[in-house]
Amino acid sequence: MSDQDILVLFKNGQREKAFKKLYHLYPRIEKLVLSKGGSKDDASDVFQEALIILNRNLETSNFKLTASFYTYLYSVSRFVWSDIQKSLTKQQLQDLNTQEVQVFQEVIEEKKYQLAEHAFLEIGKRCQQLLQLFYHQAMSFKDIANVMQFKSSKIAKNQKYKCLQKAKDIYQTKLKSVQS
Amino acid sequence: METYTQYIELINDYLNNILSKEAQADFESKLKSDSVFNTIYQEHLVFVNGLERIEIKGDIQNAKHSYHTEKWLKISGISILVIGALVMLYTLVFNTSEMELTPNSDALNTIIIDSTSSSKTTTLSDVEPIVDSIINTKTTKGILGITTPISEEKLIAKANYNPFQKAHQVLRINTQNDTIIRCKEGSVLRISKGAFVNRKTGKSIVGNVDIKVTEYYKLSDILIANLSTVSNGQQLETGGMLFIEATQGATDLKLKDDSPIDISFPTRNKKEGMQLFTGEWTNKNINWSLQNIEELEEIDLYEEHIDVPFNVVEEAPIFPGCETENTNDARKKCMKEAISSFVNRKFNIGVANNLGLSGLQRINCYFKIDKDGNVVFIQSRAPHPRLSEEADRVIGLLPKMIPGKQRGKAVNVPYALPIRFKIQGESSTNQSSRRVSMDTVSTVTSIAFDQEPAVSPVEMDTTYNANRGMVEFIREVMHDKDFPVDSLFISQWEQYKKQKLIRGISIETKPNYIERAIVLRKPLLEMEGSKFKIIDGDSITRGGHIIRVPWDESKIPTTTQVMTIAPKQRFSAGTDAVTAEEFESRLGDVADTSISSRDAGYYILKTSNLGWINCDRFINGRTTRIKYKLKIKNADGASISMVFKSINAVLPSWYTNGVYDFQTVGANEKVVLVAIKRKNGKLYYDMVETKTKANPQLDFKFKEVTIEELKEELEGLNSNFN
Repeated sequence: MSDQDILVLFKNGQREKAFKKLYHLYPRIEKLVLSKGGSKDDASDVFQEALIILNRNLETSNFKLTASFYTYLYSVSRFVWSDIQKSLTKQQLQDLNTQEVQVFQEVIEEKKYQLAEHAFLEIGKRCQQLLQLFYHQAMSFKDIANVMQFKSSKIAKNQKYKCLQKAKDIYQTKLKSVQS
Repeated sequence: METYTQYIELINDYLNNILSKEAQADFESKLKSDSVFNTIYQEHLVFVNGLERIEIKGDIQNAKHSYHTEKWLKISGISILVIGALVMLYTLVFNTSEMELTPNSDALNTIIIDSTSSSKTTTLSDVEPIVDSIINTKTTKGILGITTPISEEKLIAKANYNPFQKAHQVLRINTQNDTIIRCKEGSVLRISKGAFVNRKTGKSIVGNVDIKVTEYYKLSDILIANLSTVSNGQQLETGGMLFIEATQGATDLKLKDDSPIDISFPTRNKKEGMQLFTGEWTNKNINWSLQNIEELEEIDLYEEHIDVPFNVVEEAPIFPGCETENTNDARKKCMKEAISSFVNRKFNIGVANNLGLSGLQRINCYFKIDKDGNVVFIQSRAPHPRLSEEADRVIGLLPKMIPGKQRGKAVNVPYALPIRFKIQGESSTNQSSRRVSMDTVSTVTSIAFDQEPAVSPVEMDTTYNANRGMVEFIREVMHDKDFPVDSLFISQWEQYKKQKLIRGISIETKPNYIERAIVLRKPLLEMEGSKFKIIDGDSITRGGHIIRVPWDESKIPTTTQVMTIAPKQRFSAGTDAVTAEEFESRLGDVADTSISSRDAGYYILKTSNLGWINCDRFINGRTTRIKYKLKIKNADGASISMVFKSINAVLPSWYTNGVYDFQTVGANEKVVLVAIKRKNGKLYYDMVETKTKANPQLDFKFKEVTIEELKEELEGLNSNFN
C-alpha cells in the first residue's frame, strides 16, 4: 500500500483504516525509541502522538506531505521523544532547519492540546460525553437532551456550558502548574 | 457569564462555518481588536483540539488493535500452512508402508512370519564372532591347460566345458563372517556374511561355502572362453570379466538379493565410466546387463585387514604357556614347538591306513591367528582328503592364543604348518629328490584349496608344479647344477648367513645395470673340508672375500615339485561330458564328428545367477555406425568373433544361413576377426586384420592347428589388447 493510497484513505475519512496501514511502520519507530533508551510502552505512546500530529496536519488544508509517511513520522517521533526526555540542548535547537522547526513547533503545540485532553478526562464521564456529542457529532441540544436524558434542550445547553467551564478551569490550573 | 456564553456560541458557529460573510468578517475584526475575545477564542480552540485528540486516540487504538490482530492472523496462518505441508509430506513419504499394511490380515500374517524368520537367521550369525580375513590366493603358475581346474559340477548332466578353459580358483569361505578375497589377477571380492542362499529353496546358507572365481583380463582368455562384450546389442569396452560360482557340497547357491558382492577390478584397465554388468548366456552368446551398483568402489583393504606373516610380525602371538619367554624370538620358538607337539599328540595317524598311501606323507596346513587370538581360516592340503580332514580337525583344536601385534595393533597372523609322517609299507620310490624343507614355518605363497570329499568316485588329476627353493638357490650360487645339497648343508648355510659369512648385495656389473650378487667371506674358504672354492668370474676383494654373481634360474633345473590332486575336469564333446584326455583324443580322432566347431572354439557355461560379472563401459558416439554382416563361403559353421584393437571389446556374431551378423558396429574401426572351426575332427583357425566398413569382402584361409598352436596364436593377440 503506497503513501498515496493512505492519503486517499485519509481524505475519504477512513481514518481508522489509514492508521492501520500506518501501523506497519510502527516496528521501525519502536526500534528508534528503544535505541534511545525508551521502553516498548514509551514507543507505543510516541508513535500514537506522531499519528495524532500527522492527522491534525492532514486536516489543515495548507499542509503538504513533502516526504514519505515514514520520514515524517520518524522525525515527529524523534522530537516527541526528545521532548519527553527534555534532551534537546539549546545548541541543537538552534541548528534545526526550517522544516524541523515547524515539526518541533507542532510537537509543542500538541502538548497544549494534551493538557486540554487531560482536563477533559477529569471532568467526569457525563460531561465528556456531552461535550463530545456536541462538538464532534455536531448534535443539536435537542438530540443531546434525548440521548443523555435531559429534560429539555435548554438544560442540555446549560449543562454543556457548565462542563466546558469546568474543563477550562482545570486546564488553566494545569497550564499554570506546567509553566511554573 | 452571559457574554461568555454568547462568545462561545459565536466561536462555535464560526468554527462550524455557519456564519454569514459579514458576520465572519465581523468576527475576524473582533478577534483582532478585542483581546479578551481573542483569548477566549484561542482557549476554546485548544479545547476543541484536545477534545479531538480523544476521538483520534480512539481511532488509533482501534487501528492498532486491528493491526496486531491481522499480524497474528498472518503468522498463525503461515504456521498452519507450514504444518499442513509437513503433514502432507509425512503422509506422502510413509504412504507406501501404510499401503503394505492395508491388505487383508492374511497377507499381514505372512509378512510377520517372514520377518521373524529372517531376524532369526541374523541373530544366529550375530552370535558368531565376526572375523574379517583376507585370502591371498595364488594358484600355482605355469600349468599348461587342462588339469588344475576343480569342478563341483561334474555330476551335472550335459554341462559343457571347453578344453581351453582357464584355471579358476576355488576358495572356501565361512558365510558367518565377512570375507574379502583377493584373486591372483587382482580382483577383490568382498562378500558380506550370510550373503548366500540356496538356489532352489531360497534358504540362507550357514557354514562353509566354496567360491569359484575365474578371471578374464587377457584378450586370449576372453576369446577362448567365447566371452563377448555386448549389452542388449550395444557394444561395451571391457575392463575385465569375472566368473563367480558358489556351491556348498553339491548344492548350487545364489546371492541373496539384498547382499551383493562388492567387486574391485584391478585398476590397470579401469577407465572412467566403467560400470559393473552381470552376464547371462543367451543363445550361444553372452549378454551383459547393467548392475545396480552405480560406480565401482575402490576398496582399500590393507588399512583395515592386515595380515602379517609369522616370521615378520613384531610381536608374535603367544601360545598358552609361552608367556614366560622374554624375547620375541623365544616366544616364536616356544610357539612353534608347542604347536608341533600339540599336533603330534592329537593327530591320528590311523586315518592314513587303508588309503593306499605309502612312504613319506606331507600335509601342508595353513591357518591364521586372528586379531582375537582365535585360530581361523584353516586350510590344509594333503595327498588324500581324509588326511586333510584330519589335519583340519587337529588344528581346529588349537587353544585360543594372545593375538600377534604389529606396531602395537592386533593383526591377523598367517601360519603355515607342514605335517610329515611316514607310512610303513612298500618303500617310496621318489624319496631321494624330495627336499625336506628347512623352514618349518614360512609364509605361504601358493595355496591349493582342497575341495569337498568326492561324493562319488571321480577320476583324479595329479599335477606337479615346480617349486624353487633353497636347493636351487644354493646351486645357483655354487655355479653347479649338480651340487649335492642335503639338509645338513642347508642348515650350515643358514648358520653362515646368520654369521654374515654369506651375504646378498647388489652390484653394478655393467654401467646402469644392477645385479644381485653374493659375498662369500674369507673364513668360508679357509674352513676345513670347505665346499666353497674360487671359480672363474669371481671377483676377490682386498680382504680375500669373494663376490660372486649367481647363475640365473634357467641354468639350474628345478628338482622340487609340489603335488596337487584335483578331480578331473569334464568337457563337452557333442552330447557327452568327458575328461580332458578323452576330449583331446576324440578331437584328434578324425572319424569322430561329435565335437562341433562350437564345442571346440567356444565353451558354454550354464551357470548360476552369480555367473559372469564384467567391468565394462558403453561405447557411445565414437563414430558413425554401420551394420556389419560377413558372408564367408568356406565358413562351415566356424565361430567368428571380432576384436576391436582400439578398445577392449570382443564382439560375437550370430550365424544364420551363411551370414555372420555382428549387428551394429562403429565404422572404420581397426578390428581383428578371429575364426575357429572344427571340421572332420580337425581344428582350423584363421585371423584377419581389417577395418570395419559396410559390405565387407573377406575370406578366411583356414589353417589346421593343434590346440597348443591355437592357444599360442590367441596369446599373441594380447599385445593388441590392454
